[in-house]
Amino acid sequence: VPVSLAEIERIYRTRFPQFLRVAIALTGDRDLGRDAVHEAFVKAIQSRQTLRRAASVDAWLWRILVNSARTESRRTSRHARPFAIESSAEEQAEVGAIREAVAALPERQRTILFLRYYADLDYEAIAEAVGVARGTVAATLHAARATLKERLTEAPR
Amino acid sequence: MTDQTRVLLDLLNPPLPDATGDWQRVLDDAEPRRLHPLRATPSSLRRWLREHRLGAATITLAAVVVTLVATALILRATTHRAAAADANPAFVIAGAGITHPLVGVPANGTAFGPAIQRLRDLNANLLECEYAHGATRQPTIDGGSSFQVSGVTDETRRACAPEQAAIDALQRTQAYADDAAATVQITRGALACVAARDIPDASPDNAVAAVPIVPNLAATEEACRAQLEREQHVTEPSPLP
Repeated sequence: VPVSLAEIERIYRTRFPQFLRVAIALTGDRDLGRDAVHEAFVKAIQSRQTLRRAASVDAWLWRILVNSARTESRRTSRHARPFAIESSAEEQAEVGAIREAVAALPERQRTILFLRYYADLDYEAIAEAVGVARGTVAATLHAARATLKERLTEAPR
Repeated sequence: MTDQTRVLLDLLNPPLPDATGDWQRVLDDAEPRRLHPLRATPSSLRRWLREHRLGAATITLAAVVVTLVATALILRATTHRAAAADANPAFVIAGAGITHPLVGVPANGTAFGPAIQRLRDLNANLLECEYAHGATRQPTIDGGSSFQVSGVTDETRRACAPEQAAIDALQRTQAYADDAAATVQITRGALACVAARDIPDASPDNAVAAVPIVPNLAATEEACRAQLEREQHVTEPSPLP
């Protein structure tokens, strides 16, 4: 049974802030993030007949979003700075060290980190969305947190 | 570190509880059955326009320019060979069809076949040749949606004889006659059906009012007919056994 349009719409309307937040984080830009969410749902509607129903619709949408965000980032890589969320000078000073530490993580670690903390996905859903095993998600998250802790502890105050 | 990580990431990219999307725009891009050309503009084009600080007016202007150019090419060819039309029924049929600017709009290959496409290319070649040999063009009195070519001399005709011959040869083929007939059938059928519906000014002779039915005439016709059939089925009493 293909995914219904109503189901996709329900997820869009109820979880849009989370999709957007992850997309902004992945692309490093608010407009690009919005475009990524938009493109992801356009693709989802167009390809909803092809989903194997055994898969989770949620995870399927997250996977499309992650791919869309990657596409958006690549498309504008000449212009966008990595993980350069727009913010005031004060905010930038406050979060500068965090930003650098997160930006220095490998892409997969960042993606899984965002899906875990911005989208509140459980390990199973993250595994489906990213296309890795559940154990890989746990290991990757552990490594990302350890790296962040190390870098932020070392960072000058 | 888990909770600390969440706090750090919240600092970096705060929650967006009030963010709202635009589901209608997603639908429009995913299923462009809402056929207004501006609404059906692909998101990639909208993004490009936004990046270059261009707006909907630009899209409208571009659409108008494209329509004008296509109409000019098509009407020019039709007018220029009016005499030949009487002797060539296939051309008469095609002439009626291709004077409609919508025929110049790609329609998933359903509104016109390869022979009509080829005719449009040949017409463009002929026009280029005529312009290169002294012809000029002026807007006609029908609101500027077409052009009249003037200044075509015997020398122009001689110089452009190969282009003209290519058109004549194409119009004598069966493929052309088949495509032309199909084009007219689809275009007129769709417009007549839509005219009977909720676009009062749409008719086979009113291209401007018919613009909302772009881009797929055949699909429009099919949908329109299906709807009419459904309504007929509901409103008309069934015959007694």
